[in-house]
Amino acid sequence: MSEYRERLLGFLKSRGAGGASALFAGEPSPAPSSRPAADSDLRRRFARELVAVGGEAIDLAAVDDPEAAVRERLARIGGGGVAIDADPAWGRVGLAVDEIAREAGLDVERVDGSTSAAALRDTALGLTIADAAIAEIGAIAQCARPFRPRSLSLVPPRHVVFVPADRLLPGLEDLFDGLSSGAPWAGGVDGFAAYFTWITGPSRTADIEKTLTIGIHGPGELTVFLLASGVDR
Amino acid sequence: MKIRTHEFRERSTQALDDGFVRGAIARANASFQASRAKAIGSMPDWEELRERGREIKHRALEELPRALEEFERQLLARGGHVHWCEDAVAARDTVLSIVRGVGAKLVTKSKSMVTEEIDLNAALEADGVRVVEGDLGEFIVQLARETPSHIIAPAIHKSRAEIARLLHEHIACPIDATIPEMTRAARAALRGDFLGAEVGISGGNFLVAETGTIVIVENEGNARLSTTVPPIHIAVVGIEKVVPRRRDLAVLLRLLCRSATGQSVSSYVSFISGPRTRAESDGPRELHVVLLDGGRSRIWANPRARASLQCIRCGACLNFCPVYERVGGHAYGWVYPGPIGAVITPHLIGVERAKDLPQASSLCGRCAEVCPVKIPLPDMLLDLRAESVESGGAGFGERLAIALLRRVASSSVLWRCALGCGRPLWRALRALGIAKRLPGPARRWSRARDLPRVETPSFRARWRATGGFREESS
Amino acid sequence: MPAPQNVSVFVTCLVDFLFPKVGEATVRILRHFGLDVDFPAAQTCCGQPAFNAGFRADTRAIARHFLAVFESSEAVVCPSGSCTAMVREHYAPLFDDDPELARRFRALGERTWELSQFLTDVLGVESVPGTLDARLTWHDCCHSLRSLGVRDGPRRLLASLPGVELRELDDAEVCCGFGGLFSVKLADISAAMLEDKVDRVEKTRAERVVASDSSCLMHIGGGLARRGSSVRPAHFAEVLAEALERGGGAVAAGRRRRREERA
Repeated sequence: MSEYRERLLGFLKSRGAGGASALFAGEPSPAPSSRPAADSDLRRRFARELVAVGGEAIDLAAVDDPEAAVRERLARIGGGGVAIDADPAWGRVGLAVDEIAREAGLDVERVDGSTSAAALRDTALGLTIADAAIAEIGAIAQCARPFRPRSLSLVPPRHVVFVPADRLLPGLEDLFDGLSSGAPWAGGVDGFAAYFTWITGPSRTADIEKTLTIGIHGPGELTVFLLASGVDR
Repeated sequence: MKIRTHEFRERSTQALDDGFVRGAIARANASFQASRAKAIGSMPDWEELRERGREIKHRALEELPRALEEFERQLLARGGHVHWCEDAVAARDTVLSIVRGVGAKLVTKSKSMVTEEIDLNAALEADGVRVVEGDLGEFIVQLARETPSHIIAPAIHKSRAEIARLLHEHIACPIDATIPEMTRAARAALRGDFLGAEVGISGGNFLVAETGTIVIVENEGNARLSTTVPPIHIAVVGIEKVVPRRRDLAVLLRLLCRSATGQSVSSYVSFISGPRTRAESDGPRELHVVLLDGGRSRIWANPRARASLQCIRCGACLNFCPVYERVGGHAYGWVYPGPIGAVITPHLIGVERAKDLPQASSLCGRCAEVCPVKIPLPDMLLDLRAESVESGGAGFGERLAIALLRRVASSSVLWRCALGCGRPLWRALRALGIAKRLPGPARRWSRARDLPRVETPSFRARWRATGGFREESS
Repeated sequence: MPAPQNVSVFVTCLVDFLFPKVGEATVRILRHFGLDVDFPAAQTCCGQPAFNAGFRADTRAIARHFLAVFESSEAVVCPSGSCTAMVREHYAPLFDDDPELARRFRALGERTWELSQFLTDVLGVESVPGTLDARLTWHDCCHSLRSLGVRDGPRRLLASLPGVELRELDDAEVCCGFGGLFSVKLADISAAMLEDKVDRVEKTRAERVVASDSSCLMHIGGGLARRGSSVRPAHFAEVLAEALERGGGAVAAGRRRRREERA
C-alpha cells in the first residue's frame, strides 16, 4: 500500500500541484445569511429549527417550574429505564435529574464511557448534557468523553438533552471556531475533539416511496431542554 | 458493480415502458426539487455559497497531494491507519485482510457508492463474512439482490408493495405492512446485527486535511451505529473527497444537505478523527481509512475533466435531469447515474465502454444550474462526445452527415445549392408520404412528431423579391 | 453599451430551410426599432449539430466561415438562443491553440445577440407598440434561459401587448426534449419529454405556444400536430412582428421617434 502511496503522490506532484501554503490559502469564508446574528434570539431560533424536523424543544427559562416541566416530560415516557452519564456538569445544571427521573416513574442507571452499546439495548431513554448547540440548524453536538458512552445518544429509542445557556452557539462556524480555540466544552486530548457528532432531531428515512418516517435506527424521539443558565466557567 | 453501461439503450427503453418506475422517479424528483427550492429559498446568498463551495473543492484538488499527505499525517498522529489503494482489487484486498485479521464474521455497512465501485460486499461474502447493509434503502436493495438506483435514495425504484413482499420474505414483517410498520420491522431486524458486528464499514462524505477527519452525513443513524459500536471501523473513501480545513465544512455541509434532501442539515453528522482515545473505553479501537484512486488520478490529470472530482455526491443533478427522470438510475449501467454518472463513468471505466452515456442528454443545462459546487457538466459531456469521435467512436452514417454539413456550411455556394435542392426534395418526399418512412432520423422523428413542412417562398427568395423587406407589409 | 445602428441578421439554417417567416419577422422588427438591417447572403449554419455530436474539427471549419461572413458586422442578431449561445460560448474555446483567432471570435461573440435579448438589453425596449388579440404561453428554450439568461424579457414584451393574455406554462423551464440530434438518437426519451411538454402546453388552453428558438418549436409543434391539437407553435419574432404590424400608427410613430433619437 505504501508503494502506491509513493507512486500516486509522485504522479500528482509531477503534474505541478503546489504546496501546503496554497492548500490553506484564502480567507475563511464569512458566515452566510442562514447563520443568525450572535445577539439575536438564539433560543427561539434553535427551538424553531428543531421543531421543524420533528424534535421537541422546551425553554426552561420560560417556565415557572423547570423541575416540574422536566418531570412531566419524562413521565410521558411511561416508565422504563433511563441511562444518565457521569458528566461532571450535572452538578452545575441546577436540577436533580436522578430524583426527577425517579419521580417520573423511570428506573435510573448511571453509566459512563465503559458502558457498552449492547448494555443500553433495552434502555428506554438516554439523558445527556449537550457539549454545544447550534441555533442556526437546531443541532446539538456531543463530543466523545470518558464519562459518556457514544451509544447513549444513539441506542435507546429516546434521547433527552440539556443545553446549558453558555453552550448555545449561533452558527456552524462558531462550533468549529470553538473547537479550534479550545472551548471548555470541546473535551478531547490536548484540546482536540477526536470524535464529535451533530444530532438534529430524531432519526428519519424516506427510502420507501419517498415517504417520510420518523424514527429508524437512531432515537425516534429527541427532546431538548434549554437551560436558563450556563455550566462552564 | 458489474458494468452494464453498454446496455443503456435497452435498459432505458425498458424503463420508459415501466409505468411504476417512471412514476416513482418523477414523483421523487418533484419532491426533491420542491424540498430544495424551499431550503434555498430562505438563502438569498445561495449563489455566493455555491461559488465558495466550488472554490474550496477546486483548491483542494489543485493541492491534492498536499491535502492527502496532511490528512494522513493528522490521522496517523491520532492512531489511525491510512491505506493507499490504486484500484478496486487493492482496496478489496486491504479491507479483506483487515477483516480476516480480526477473524470477523459479521460486518455492518453504511451507504457508500465507493464500496459499490469495488464490489466489496461480494468479496466479503465470498470470504465467509456476512455483510449487513444498515441504511434502509440499501438494506432493501440488498435483500432484492439489486443495485442502488440513486445516490441518495437507493430503493426509489421499488414500490411499497414490492418492499413489503421482500421484507415479509426475509424478516418478520406482515405482507400488508404500512410504511411505518416496514420501517419499524427493519429497525428491529437490524438491531442485533448493529450491536453484534465485529467490523463496521462506512464511506465518507468528506475528508479534512487540516484535522485528519472523516465526515459522515446521514439521517437514519445506521452509520453512527456502524462506526461507533464495532471495535474496528473501516472507512473506504475516494481520494477526491479531501477538503482543506475543518471550517470549510460549514460551507460544504450547508450546500450538501440542502442540495440532497432540502434539509438545513441531516439528522446526524459524525466527525471522526481517530480511534478511541486513551481516556475512552468507548468507540472503535482501530480506525482504518482506505483511500481509493480507482481512476480518479487520471481524471485529475485531465484539466478539462478535473472539476468533475468536485462532486459532493448530493444527487441534485439526478433530481433535476429530465433524462434520468425517465430512464432511472439502472439504465446508466454502473454505480453513478444521472449527469454526474454520465461524466465520470466513461472517465473511470473507459469512453468506449460507456459511450452511450454522454449521448443521453439534451444538454438542457439544469444539472450545472443546480450543482452546489458548479461543475460544468454539459461542457464535460460535450468533451466526452468529442473524445469519442476522435477515437473513432462515431458511426459511418453520422460521419458522412457531418462531413456533408461541414462542406455545405463552409461554402456559401454549396449552401445555396443545398437550399436549392434540399427544399424542393423535402417537399416532394413529404408530399409523397415517403419522408416519414425514410430509415434513420426521419423515421425515428416521425414516431412521435409530424415532420416539419417547408414554408414557401424561402427567406432568400422573399428578401430578393421585396428588396430586403423594404415594403411595409408582407 | 451604446446601441448599434447597423445590424446583420443571422437567420439560422432552420429558418433558411424551413421557416422563412421567422427571418422576415426578425428583419421587420429590427427595422421598426430604427435599425439598418442587412442579410449577408454568404451565411450558412452556426455548426451546432457538428459541435454537439463531438466533431470539433468540422465545427472549426464552419466557425471560420461564420467569422468571415460576420466579422465586419457592427452587431449580429439571431432569432435563436441556441445558435447565439453557440457563437458566444463555444466558438472561441475551439481555437485555444490560436489566441489571436480566439480573440476575434470572442469579440464577435460579444456583439452577437439573440433577438429578444437584443431588444431588451441592447435597445432597452420595455414595451412593444403593437396590439394582438391572443392567448399565448411561453416556453423557455434551454440555451436562451441557461446560457443567455433570457427569461423575463420576452415575457414582459409579450405581456406589454394589449390584447395578449400570457398564460404561465407549468414547468416552462423544463426541456422540451429536442436537444438537436438527441431527438433522433435517443428518440424514445425525447418523445417522452415531448409528451409531458405538450400535455402542459395544452393544459394552458393557449392558442399559441411561443418560444425563442425554431428548433424547439419544430419539435413541440410536431408533437402538437401529431396530437391534432389546436395550439399552434409561434416564434417570438413572428408574434412580435404581427403585433407591430397591427399596431399601425403607433408603429410608424415609434419608428420616426427612434430615428430622431439616434440622429
